[in-house]
Amino acid sequence: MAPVSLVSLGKAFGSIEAVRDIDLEIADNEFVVLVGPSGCGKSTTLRMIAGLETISRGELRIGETVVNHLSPGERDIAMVFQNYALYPHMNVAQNIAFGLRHRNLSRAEIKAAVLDAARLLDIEALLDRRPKALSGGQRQRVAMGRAIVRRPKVFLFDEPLSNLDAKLRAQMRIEIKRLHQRVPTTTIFVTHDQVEAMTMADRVVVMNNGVIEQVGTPLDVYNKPATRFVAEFIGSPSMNFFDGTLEAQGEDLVFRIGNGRALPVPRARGSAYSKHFGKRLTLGLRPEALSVSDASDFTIEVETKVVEPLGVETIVYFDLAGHPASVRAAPNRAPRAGETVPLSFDMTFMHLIDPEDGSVIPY
Amino acid sequence: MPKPIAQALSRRTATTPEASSIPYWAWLLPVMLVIGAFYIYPIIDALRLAFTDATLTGGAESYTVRSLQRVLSNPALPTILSNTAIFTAASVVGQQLLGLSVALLVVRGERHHLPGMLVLRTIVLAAWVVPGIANGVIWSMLFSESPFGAINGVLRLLELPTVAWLSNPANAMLSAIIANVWQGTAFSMIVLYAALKSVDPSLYEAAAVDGAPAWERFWFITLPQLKAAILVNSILITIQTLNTFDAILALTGGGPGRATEVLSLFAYNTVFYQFDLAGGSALSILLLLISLVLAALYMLFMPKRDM
Ligand SMILES: Nc1ncnc2c1ncn2[C@@H]1O[C@H](COP(=O)(O)OP(=O)(O)O)[C@@H](O)[C@H]1O
Ligand SMILES: [Mg+2]
Repeated sequence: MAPVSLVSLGKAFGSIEAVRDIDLEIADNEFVVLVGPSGCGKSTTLRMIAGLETISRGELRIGETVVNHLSPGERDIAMVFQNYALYPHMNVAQNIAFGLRHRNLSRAEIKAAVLDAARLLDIEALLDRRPKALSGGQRQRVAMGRAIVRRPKVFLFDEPLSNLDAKLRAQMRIEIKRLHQRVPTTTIFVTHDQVEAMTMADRVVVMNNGVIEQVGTPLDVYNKPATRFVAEFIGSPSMNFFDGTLEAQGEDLVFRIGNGRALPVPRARGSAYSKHFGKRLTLGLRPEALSVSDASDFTIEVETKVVEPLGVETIVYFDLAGHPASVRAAPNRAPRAGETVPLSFDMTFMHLIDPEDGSVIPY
Repeated sequence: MPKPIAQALSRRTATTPEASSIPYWAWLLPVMLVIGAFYIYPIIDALRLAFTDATLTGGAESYTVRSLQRVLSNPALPTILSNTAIFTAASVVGQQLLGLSVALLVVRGERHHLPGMLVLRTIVLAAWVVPGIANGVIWSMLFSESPFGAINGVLRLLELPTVAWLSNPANAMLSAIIANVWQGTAFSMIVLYAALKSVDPSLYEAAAVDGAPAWERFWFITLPQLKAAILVNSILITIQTLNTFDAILALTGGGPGRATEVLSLFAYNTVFYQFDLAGGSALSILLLLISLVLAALYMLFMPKRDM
């Protein structure tokens, strides 16, 4: 229950800069998810907050206190590790109680706190068991119990769900969310899974190559990605990208894919895009901005390559002007692989990306 | 099913009854023969010899319990047993503590990428490959009370009083223990180093986040995680130390008086100096019994389930 500030935080391992220039203000009780591909520096950032890595540059504040030089134990944080890191030689109750040893609590008070946490996580029946005798999901809960029992200022999670099977992962996602609602605490959650990030976060922090690419609400980063990296990383299947040029056609702007069809740019974007007129740019369109139909005036014929029926929808993969791309289709109207079908483009969802620096041109 | 596969399968099932007609113990026969010939037979023979009047000089032997009585009523036996207990207990504790300290030091050094950790490990290990006799000779030179004695030489340089390491019965046992611990530490270090390396480092991180200072992490994480290794190590050191006589033989010869004569050395002397094969056999059976009882005691403390 404290805000957390990261000010120009950086970490170097020898000459390798793992993380740099991290600026982030996390509000009291906010649930923030750090997401990015493996090796982008999420864990390093989290471990600097925990005090498990020294901070090479910048300042870290928890509440009003600068904690750069405090040990993990002095920071009043709790952490759930990817492998849970339960103490193997202690039973569940002892595991949960371990962090209360320096609280000057009586035996009865400790017992009550442990029971409280166990009840919250539905693991009362397991209190006498050793970690070896628990399933993955149960270990996960015990690790959370160990964190929650101390009522810390900040919860840190480092990919806690990645060792669970898909079904349990979805379930734990919801439970962690619910726990956060019942015990509001500032939470920093690290994952490489953009679905976890989107579904759990109040705010998503997208990282790449040791820097923050974008910070925003899940819908912000989905609908208004700041960079091509974010546009590509968030969302599954990934956004489609087509290289081409921005051209004038009478009063209006069009985007010409390769040397082929010109797609009309919505009038509303005209003023934002007018500076980039004539440039080589990349068009970004999510699979749901395309549709398999000839309803609109500007359709393009493509040959489908692979069709993935997912039940609720069917993903159709194809190539367009040398770019692999995909479109979401209704299952009852999905084409077969190898068919030639007309595609409609809803350009109101378009993004234009400057290929020089990968930035999305704001509109 | 394709024909060749079906044939192969039916051929396999056809051979199964044949295979099962071989009794299961037949498969154990080779290993039982080897163990029997090289381990069990000598023990049984020693047991048999203990009930004879056999001597090393040969001659007809007849069965009697007189040798056994003579050995067990030897007035020196209590001294020797207490020497053995002190020598063994001090060696186990000393090697365990020193081995753990060096192992912790090496692991810590490696974690901080200090240079020379491999060299340190190798140097410590070098002591271990020294034969027992050579170990005794090395330490008798170090402890020597002549003007060339290394340790006393250093003490003189520092203008400290010299110590009668080997000639004073009160110091001789300590000297023997030092020599034995010096040699055995390497073994403990390797066992405990391996055990330390296999402790999940995130346990220490979790404990640090849980607010445990360094000594608590050692007490609540390291020691419980090393429990099995320490117990196995204790069994091995105990048995090895009980059987050690070569180093003592070279260092003190069991003296002064009987101050450093342990059971294994006593058995050796009984056979090879008094030619009393029957008495020596009885003593070695006693040694075996002590080892077995101690090993069983340690096993009682062994963690039952994998932790
Ligand atoms: N202890 C370390 N020593 C050297 N390099 C490290 C260390 N820890 C992490 N790194 C490097 O820092 C980068 C970021 O790692 P990490 O924060 O673990 O990534 P993530 O958690 O996002 O997968 C990686 O390139 C990794 O190789
Ligand atoms: Mg990581």
